[in-house]
Amino acid sequence: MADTILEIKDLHVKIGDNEIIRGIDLSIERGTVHALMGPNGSGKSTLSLVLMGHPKYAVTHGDIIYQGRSILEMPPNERSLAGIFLAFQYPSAVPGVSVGNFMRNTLMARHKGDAPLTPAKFKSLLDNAAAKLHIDPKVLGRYVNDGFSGGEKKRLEMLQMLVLQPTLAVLDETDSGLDIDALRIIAQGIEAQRSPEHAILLITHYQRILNYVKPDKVHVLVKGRIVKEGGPELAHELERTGYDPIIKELATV
Amino acid sequence: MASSTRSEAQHRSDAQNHSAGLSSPAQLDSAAIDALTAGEPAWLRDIRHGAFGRFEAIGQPTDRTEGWRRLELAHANVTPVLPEPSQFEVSVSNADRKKGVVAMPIADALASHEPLVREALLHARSGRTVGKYSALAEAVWQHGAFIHVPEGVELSEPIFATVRAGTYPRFIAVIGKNARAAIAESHHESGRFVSGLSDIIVGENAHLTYAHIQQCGPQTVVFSHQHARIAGGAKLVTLNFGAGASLAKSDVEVELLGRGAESDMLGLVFARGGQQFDYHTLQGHRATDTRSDLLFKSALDGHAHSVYTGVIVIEKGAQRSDAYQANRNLLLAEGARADTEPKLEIEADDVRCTHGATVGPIDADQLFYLASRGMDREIASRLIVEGFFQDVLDKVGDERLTRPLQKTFAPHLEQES
Ligand SMILES: Nc1ncnc2c1ncn2[C@@H]1O[C@H](COP(=O)(O)OP(=O)(O)OP(=O)(O)O)[C@@H](O)[C@H]1O
Ligand SMILES: [Mg+2]
Repeated sequence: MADTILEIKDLHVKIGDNEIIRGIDLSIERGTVHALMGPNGSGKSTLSLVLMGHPKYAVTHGDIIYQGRSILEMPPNERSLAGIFLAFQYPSAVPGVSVGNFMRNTLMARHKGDAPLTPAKFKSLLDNAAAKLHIDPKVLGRYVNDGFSGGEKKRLEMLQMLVLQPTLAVLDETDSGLDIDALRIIAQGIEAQRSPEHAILLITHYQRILNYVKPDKVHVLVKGRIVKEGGPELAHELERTGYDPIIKELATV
Repeated sequence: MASSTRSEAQHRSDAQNHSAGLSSPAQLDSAAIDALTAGEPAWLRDIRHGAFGRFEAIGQPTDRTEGWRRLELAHANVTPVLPEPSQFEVSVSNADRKKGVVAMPIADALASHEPLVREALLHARSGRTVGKYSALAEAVWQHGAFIHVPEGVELSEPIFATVRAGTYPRFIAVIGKNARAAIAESHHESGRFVSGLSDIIVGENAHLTYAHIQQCGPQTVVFSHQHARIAGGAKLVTLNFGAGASLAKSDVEVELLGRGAESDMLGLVFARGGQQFDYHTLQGHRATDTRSDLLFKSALDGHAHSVYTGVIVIEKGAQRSDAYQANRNLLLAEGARADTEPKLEIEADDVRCTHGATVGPIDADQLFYLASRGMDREIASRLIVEGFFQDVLDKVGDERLTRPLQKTFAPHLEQES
């Protein structure tokens, strides 16, 4: 029996007067990896930010059910504590706050009342994740995303995912702008996160990453709607043909 | 004057607690100064009377007075009070004392090192702007620290001058040629009124890091005037840390007087409730190849209000001066307010001068990023504020002075009103 972690039902989202998500249905089961693809501006990042609860976007219709309950009213920090994680396409810099300090605070937020995380345990947790991603330990002393290169930012998002072990990880173009080696390392990170307990929604433009991280399902988002779904072979097809045939097909309907 | 010695820590000595019991005069006038300063050398009494004349010549400020308009004086009583008993201590390491460093109450220094004190007090005045309350402080001070670091001496430990009570604190630091020192002057007074005057003289090629820390009581009106004279090749790094007081108005003047003199001027204000902070800074370039770099930051919660006026003066002869000034204000609540105003007076032509100011709330995307990692609003804003201040603390470059400060602003954040 599929254990559904996330169920998006006829979701409509507006920013200002602009409807960007125009009726999305999507179910993600525990233990699966879903890939979400689609042209620039189709609404992929919007969907990911809405899942995380960004206040800028208004859900005008539909629902998001996470582990059996609607999370529309849940503030972003509680969504995080409930196990949702977003690797941002464009993560913010937090000048003056070191990666270590930042991570300590994220962990403290979820261990309120528990036995305190010892400095030694914290350090090994962080060092292990950093090692998996080939992150220089020196980076942990730098300020969060402040002056980071594109690739460094993506790695830091992955580091956070590996430390937090979220139930549902939404990775928004974490594979973009990476060199070949970095891509492989990031892919290994995603594979490390993959487990029967976890679900992953992988937003990507490239079939490349899917060679390393084989998705269970591929969804294609065009203009705020999922217009096509299939298995991993769909990504290959898109790589060959681009989105034009799908868009044309839509136009003729 | 009662005096007691206690040791703060093993490596410290000369930690002195002074409390001055005054036979209070009835009101602030020339006769009161005579009474307060009986027994002092004539040259000092001359300085005091001169200063008192300047104090009297300037009218009591109102909210229509230039330089005061942006403040709400209705909420703060700025009427001076008679000097009240003081409590303060100056601490210097034994090792540094053995090198000839003088760090002691001014009253003691007047007894043991009068020529040094006299030279410093006379020298310090030139170029210092006259303000009503600084003139008063110069006239009636009763307590404070005198610090002299001899030529070529490098302090192994910072000197801490800590004031816990009193009305008119005086502070004088003279750093000899090629000397190196770190000094913190901290204020914890909690009376109704405080007006302090600090003079800093940095000799050729010397290096001084100086922190002025204001953590006065929530009901206290605090005036502070700091004036620094920097000789050629020397560098002064100053930090103004403001967290206490109901209204704090500070003048921070740095004069670069010799070729190649430099100053990093840093400010960090954490205001909440109805606190009012007013900083006026001067970057005075009076010689060639001088450099000043100012960064004042304030985070304002509640309905706190900050006013910043920064003047850069580059004199005609001060070619190849390089001046930078930035004032950044983070508004943590809807009711908080920041006014910022740069003033440039540039008479030289071959100079570089840049300034910038920002006023704004916490960046919503930044806040969302932290929230998406599970932090609630309080933790997230606290972390962002700490980060906002971090570059100021980094630039001070001396953790021995800044480490104790890091804790003091963190827990104060208020809930969004
Ligand atoms: N804050 C905003 N204000 C106005 N328009 C917005 C805002 N955020 C998103 N949009 C618009 O919504 C549409 C979808 O944007 P979104 O970032 O979700 O696309 P995307 O699929 O992630 O694209 P890409 O592949 O380029 O990352 C775009 O047309 C974008 O301009
Ligand atoms: Mg996007």
